[in-house]
Amino acid sequence: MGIAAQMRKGTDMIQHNVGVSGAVAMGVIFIAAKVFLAFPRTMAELGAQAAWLIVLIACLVSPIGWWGIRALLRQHPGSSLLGATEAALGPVLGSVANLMYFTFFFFTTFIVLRQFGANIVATVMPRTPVEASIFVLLLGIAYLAYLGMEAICRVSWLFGPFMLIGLAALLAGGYYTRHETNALMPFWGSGMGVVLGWGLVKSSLLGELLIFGIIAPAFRKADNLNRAVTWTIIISATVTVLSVIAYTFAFPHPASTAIGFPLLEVSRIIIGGRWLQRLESVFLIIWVFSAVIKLGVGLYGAAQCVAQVIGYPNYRHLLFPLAILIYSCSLIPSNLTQAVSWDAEILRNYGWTVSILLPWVTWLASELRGKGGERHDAS
Amino acid sequence: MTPAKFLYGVILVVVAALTPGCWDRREPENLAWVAAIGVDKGPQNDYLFTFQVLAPRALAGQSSGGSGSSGGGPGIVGKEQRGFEVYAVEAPDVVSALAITDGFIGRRLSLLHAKMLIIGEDVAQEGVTPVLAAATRFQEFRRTMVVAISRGSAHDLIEHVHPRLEADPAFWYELMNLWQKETSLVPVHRIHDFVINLEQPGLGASAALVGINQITPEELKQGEDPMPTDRGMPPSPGMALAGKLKRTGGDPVDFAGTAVFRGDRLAGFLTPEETRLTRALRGGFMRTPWSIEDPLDPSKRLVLMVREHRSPRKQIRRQGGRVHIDFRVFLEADIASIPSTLNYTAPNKRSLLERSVEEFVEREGRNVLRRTLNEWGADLFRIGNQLQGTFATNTEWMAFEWGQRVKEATFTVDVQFRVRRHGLTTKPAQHPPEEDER
Repeated sequence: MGIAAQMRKGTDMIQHNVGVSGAVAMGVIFIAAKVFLAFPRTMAELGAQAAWLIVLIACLVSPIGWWGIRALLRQHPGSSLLGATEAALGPVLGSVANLMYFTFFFFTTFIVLRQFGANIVATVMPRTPVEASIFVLLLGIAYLAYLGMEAICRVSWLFGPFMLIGLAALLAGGYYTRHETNALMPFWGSGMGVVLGWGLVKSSLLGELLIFGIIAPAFRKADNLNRAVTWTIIISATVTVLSVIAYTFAFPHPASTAIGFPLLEVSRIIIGGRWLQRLESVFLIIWVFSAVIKLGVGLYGAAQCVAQVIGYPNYRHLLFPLAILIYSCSLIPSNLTQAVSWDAEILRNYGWTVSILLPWVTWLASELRGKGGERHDAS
Repeated sequence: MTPAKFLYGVILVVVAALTPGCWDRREPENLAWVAAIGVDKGPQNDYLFTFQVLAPRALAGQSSGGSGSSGGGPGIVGKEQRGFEVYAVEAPDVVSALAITDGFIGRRLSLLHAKMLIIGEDVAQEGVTPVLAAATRFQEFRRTMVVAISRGSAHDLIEHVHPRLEADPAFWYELMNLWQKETSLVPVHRIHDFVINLEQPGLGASAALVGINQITPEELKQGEDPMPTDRGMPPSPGMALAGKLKRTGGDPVDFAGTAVFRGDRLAGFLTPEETRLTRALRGGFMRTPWSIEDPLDPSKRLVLMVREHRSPRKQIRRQGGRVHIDFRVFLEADIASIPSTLNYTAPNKRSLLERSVEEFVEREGRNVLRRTLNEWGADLFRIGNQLQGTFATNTEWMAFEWGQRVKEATFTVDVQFRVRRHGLTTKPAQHPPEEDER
């Protein structure tokens, strides 16, 4: 296979194949691991009692971005999203678009890495420098990304059920320990217009679905890709909505807007008698595993984008420099609050331009160029 | 082995070696575990923090039967021995107080296993928000710690927490909370519940009321009656607040009643009986013995094991700024004791008893509602929680200012009570008639 064909498929897709279940597990962890961060609180700050409604609306809108990717991939069978973008927009504009995808993955990775690292310091290891916790996380992340998507999916499939069961137990335990009966009322929380508006703005909530565009050639059948994405959307949306609902029950408004580490605090309040308490130790295992997989996928996506842009056939060689860049950028926010606000106010407010708008613009351009080409041939 | 695999092997070994200990190494033998924290007003606009710290060596000696000299046997703790030490520190906040203890206690105090936060009455009257600021933010505090309000000084109270049957005071706190939950005579509210109730607009926070028992043997024999009756009826056992329980022996600290807050300040106390009624009106009422006036023989009291048949219903009507609540309470009971010779298991008498209990709970329930809602403006019944569902948005709900309207709320109480079982006997104890009765 020539370099050009290899670049269209993506640099990791030659030897590796992924199954539906592994891809679903990977996708769910990549998307839903954000519930372990400040995400439930930031939603509560926007929607008050209707935080869950913002998440639900965002989840319903999010698949529109995937439909754009799917339409583009149908125009360019056998290509990855990156290859198809370059083919549709040409080498210059295509590279610019792929750099935008890179920015999405890179930003997601370093800002989430900083949050996970700082959370560990703030909650369980208060004397450890944040640089050390970030560095240790980064080692695992880089190694996972180095192993490639097949390994990531297999690890995700191995760990995914534990994450879902653990999370379900955590949410049920929190609800059992304490729940405010009417915590979801008033129904429209901050106001109908506000909730609907934020639901649309936060439509990049499932923006991480972009990764499926990048690994599309690794599926043996196109139908498998669609099945994987459908299940990922259903499970991720369910997990994120239920997490925000359970959090709101345990910490009703206005307390929900002031909790630094929402689901960690839910795990800390669980008490089912003398022998069933202090469950945060279980939560921490889920927390760290999810973080490593999520960040590993992010680093993998970022490296694939750069490899595509510079036409380099092996993304693995880019992991080390990218890991150093991610480490450096993760230390740019001066504090945890700033890192959370960058995530909520930059990534989640403008992320839709990359996860939804860009695939559709590319598809439209490809459509127009295709038709233009036909007209040119006819003349 | 490839160089890459060798490199990752080295990295794994280094990471595995460094991460378990790292910067956060704190060995258990270097720590001292706090069982309870007390907070009183300090002399200079600050606080006096009291830490009841477990003494592991003393506890180990007691649990292995080393208390036999003055105690009653293995596990029974003698008066002279105690498995804890009490330290008090004047400081502006609990985190600073902990740091100060490093200056005179070898081990570092840890709050990770603390069971109870006891707030002195003076602090509760001035406002508890400054104390709770650290409790919700400082990572060593757990929101599962139970909150109690001490009648008088929290420091004095902790000095008196000297369980006779338990070596470990932390276990004693757990047991106290466990049984109080069942009897409903004392609210068991953790920091989490307490803070949520403080923050919710209009909701009244409440906490367990604790006090050093001050009843002397003379008072026990003669004593002032906490609820004088003019009908010769024995007083209800649930009318005395903590510190005034008529009893001797045992642990010198009482758990009895509720401290009610309006905002973050203490508004008043509810007796154990009123606490139980509050629970019946709010929900979550467990199976508890309830001493009720005998409807046909007021000189005696029946004992019923009462429990919730189903959760109470609140129907809320909002007209303009006024709120009216119809409470419907569903209780059922087993008969535990009938001191008189009247047979309340017979259908006609049973109906009489049921109606009598319904009237009692309705009357006393209204009294509790009047005190808490109309007098103190504290919503212990989650009315606001249900009321907020009648608004479309949070802005409208906030603008309603339920906290300011609680005192104007009107209500009715309707109780449905059924005697389900008669206990292990079907008839009251009979005694043969005396000679002169024949």
